[in-house]
Amino acid sequence: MTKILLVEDNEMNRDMLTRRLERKGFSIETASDGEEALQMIAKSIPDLVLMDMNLPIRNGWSTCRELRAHQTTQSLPVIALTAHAMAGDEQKALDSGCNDYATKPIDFPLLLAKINKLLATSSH
Amino acid sequence: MSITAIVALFTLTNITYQLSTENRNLRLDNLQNAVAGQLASVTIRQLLENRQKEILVLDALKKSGTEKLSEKEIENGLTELLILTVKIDQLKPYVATTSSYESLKAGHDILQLQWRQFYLGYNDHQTPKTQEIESEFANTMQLLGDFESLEILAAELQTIELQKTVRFTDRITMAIYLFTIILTLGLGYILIRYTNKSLNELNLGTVRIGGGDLNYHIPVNSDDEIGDLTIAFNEMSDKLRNAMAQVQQSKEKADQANRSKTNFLANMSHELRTPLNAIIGYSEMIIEDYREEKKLNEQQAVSDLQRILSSGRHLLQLINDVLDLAKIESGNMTVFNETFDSIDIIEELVQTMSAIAKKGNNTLALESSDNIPNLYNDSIKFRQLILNLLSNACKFTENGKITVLVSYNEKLQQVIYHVTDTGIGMTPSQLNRIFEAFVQADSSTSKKYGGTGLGLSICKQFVELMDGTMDVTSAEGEGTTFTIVLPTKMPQYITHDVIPAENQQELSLPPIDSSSSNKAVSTSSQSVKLGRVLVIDDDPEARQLLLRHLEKEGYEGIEADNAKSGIELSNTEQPDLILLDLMMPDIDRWTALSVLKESPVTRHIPVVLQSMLDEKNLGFDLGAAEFLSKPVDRQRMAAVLRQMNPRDRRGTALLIAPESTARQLLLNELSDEAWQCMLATSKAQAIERIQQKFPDIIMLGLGIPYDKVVDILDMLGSEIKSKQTDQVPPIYVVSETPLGSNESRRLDLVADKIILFNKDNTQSLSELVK
Repeated sequence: MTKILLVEDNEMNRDMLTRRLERKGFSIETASDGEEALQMIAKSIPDLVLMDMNLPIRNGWSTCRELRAHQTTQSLPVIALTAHAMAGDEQKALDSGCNDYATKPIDFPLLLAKINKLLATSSH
Repeated sequence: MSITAIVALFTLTNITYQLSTENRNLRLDNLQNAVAGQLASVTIRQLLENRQKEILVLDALKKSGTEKLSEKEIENGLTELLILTVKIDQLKPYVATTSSYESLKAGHDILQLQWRQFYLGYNDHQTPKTQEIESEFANTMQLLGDFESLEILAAELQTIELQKTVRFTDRITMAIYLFTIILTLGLGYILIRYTNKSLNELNLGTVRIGGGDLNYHIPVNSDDEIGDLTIAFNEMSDKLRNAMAQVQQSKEKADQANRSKTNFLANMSHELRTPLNAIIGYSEMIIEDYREEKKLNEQQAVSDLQRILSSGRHLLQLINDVLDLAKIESGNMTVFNETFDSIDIIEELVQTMSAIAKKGNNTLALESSDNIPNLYNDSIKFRQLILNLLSNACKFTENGKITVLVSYNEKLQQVIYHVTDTGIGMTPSQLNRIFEAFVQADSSTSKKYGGTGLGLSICKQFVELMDGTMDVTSAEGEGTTFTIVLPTKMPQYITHDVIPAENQQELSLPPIDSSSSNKAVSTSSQSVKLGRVLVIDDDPEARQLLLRHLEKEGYEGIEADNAKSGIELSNTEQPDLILLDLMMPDIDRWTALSVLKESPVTRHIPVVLQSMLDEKNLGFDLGAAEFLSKPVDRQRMAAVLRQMNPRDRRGTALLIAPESTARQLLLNELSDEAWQCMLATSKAQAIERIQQKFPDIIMLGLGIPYDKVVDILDMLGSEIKSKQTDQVPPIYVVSETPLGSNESRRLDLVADKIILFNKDNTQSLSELVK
């Protein structure tokens, strides 16, 4: 089963995305800040990471850069989730190494499409 | 320099001129003397020769012994001799060579002596010898000749000297002339070079300053006109630089404001999207659940809906706070002053909040000295302030104590409010930014404690609007104290007090019926009125027109010609509905509505706005029930009034019909006729609605197949029976097309009436429901 790590500090959004993704057949693990996410990835690398950018302790941009700095997680697919929708935010996420970007409120079918596309390319 | 040179030249020329003139004059004098001496010596020679001749004649006469000289003749001779002596003496000033003159004089003196003796001794024949006289005469003549030749020599010498002087003077003049030419040329050259240099520097400076280097200063090399020009130019560039600096400063300020706005917008976007994400996500999930599994896990669904609800409320709070902030920023937030007892408000709030305080196991107490005077300030804002601080304190405190401490500084006429908690407190850096918009101590705080991060920012600005100050002290882990200081009396220029009604009347046009202003108008009709409507409008004609409309529609009208008395009347008269004009002279456009909607006494009264502008949305946000654009259309007003006025509700109508245009038309019609409508599309829904609220009339049809109609009618019959109520609602079957006779007959048994309703034929319904 495809394993997705969801990093999100907002409890409601975490719960909502977890349940919706589980219904689509993904196995979901959750972390609520960047540090916790890094620790979990160090134990077991998921197939894909969905990550909020505005995280406490260690924000999403820094976490993503950290992932890209290590060989094991260099090409781990990461989709940034953020409520920052101003011009330039997308670029900021991509610059830090995220593969793609989804703006809150989440367009779920679009997010699914992005997840599937990334999983397809990374499995090849 | 040139002036100095010219002065020097002038002096030199003058001195030369003076010297040469003096010299020349001296020479000329000498020459004249020499010439005069010559002339005098010629006279003397003449006189000497004449005398000698006379002596010789007299001598010859004496030898002949013929005649003696008379006394007179002797005297004449002596006189002539005296004249000669005088002449010789007169010669003295013209003498060039003193020695020759002295010799001449000495020679002459001897001759004189002999001649004198000759005259004196003539008659006695004791005259000197003729040879001696002649010899002396010859000697004297010789001496005179010497003298003359010396004098001529001297004159010649003087002439030569004079010529020399003239030549010398000419040379000097020529030299000065040449020197002047050279000097002039030199000076001109220097002047041109200097001017060129200065102008070049000035030009360079102009170019540099013109090129934007405003810090460049043109060097000032002299204190002449060019120097003055340079100084003036430098001053101009200084002024320009200052002006540029000011412009730059203003630009930076504007840029800063712009950045703040952009930041605010970005934050806003972020803050709005977060709850929206939950709302949309959970809603979609519930729909998915329902669609995919055809049933809902009730517990799960309720919990999800609660999340949607709380996110929605959070969003609403955010929007309200942002509106408040925007209002404050644009200067549209008005302070509405009145006299109130702040302790009363705090007591009430402490009571309200104590339940919330208990949740965190906190105690909440008010400590106040008993000399707190009433405030003349905005009571609504004051309430919001204290409420905000108290709910903050409750949020960040657990198992602690929250205290409101009120004291009065009589000297400064200030009331001081401390809201102290023993909660988590703040670090100094958090404290510094606590009044900024969207700042909570840190982003995780909002996740744990909620809140929009705008409350304190709004509080601070409210206090400033209220002419007070707000401060905060805090220690991490120990607690926080917010301090608000408010003046007991607001300075007059800050108050946005309303104009008293009496003055208002004097100022405005004569009202159509001034005596009725601000008083309840008892309308002529004695019949029971549909409700009481308060008209707040400053225009007397518009007010009277509305009152007439109201009367015709069967309402009782009350009027107020300014916002303040309107608000007072709302409090005292408790009208069923308020018609509020947005353009009031005594108050900010939206303040009256806010006051009405925020006061617990008037909050429930529906307010219908009237305005020239389309301001529905803001009006609805602020709590207006409906909106009428001016000029007010009577029919539209009547419809709105019927919809709004609870006393005028005819009752509740249950409409059972599938969705269709005809159903919408019927719904509009019912609403316009003041029915409150419930909708059902199925039998099950209809039962549910009846259980919710028992309707006053029931309508069904419009697209429901005949069999189904009968089925529903049966169900309704048993449902109504089960209610065991005396009020059996009339049941109308509504059809767009005429029914067949069999069907009509069958339906007549169970329904009260069959109505034909379509867009061409609405009369029957209007008549029915009247």
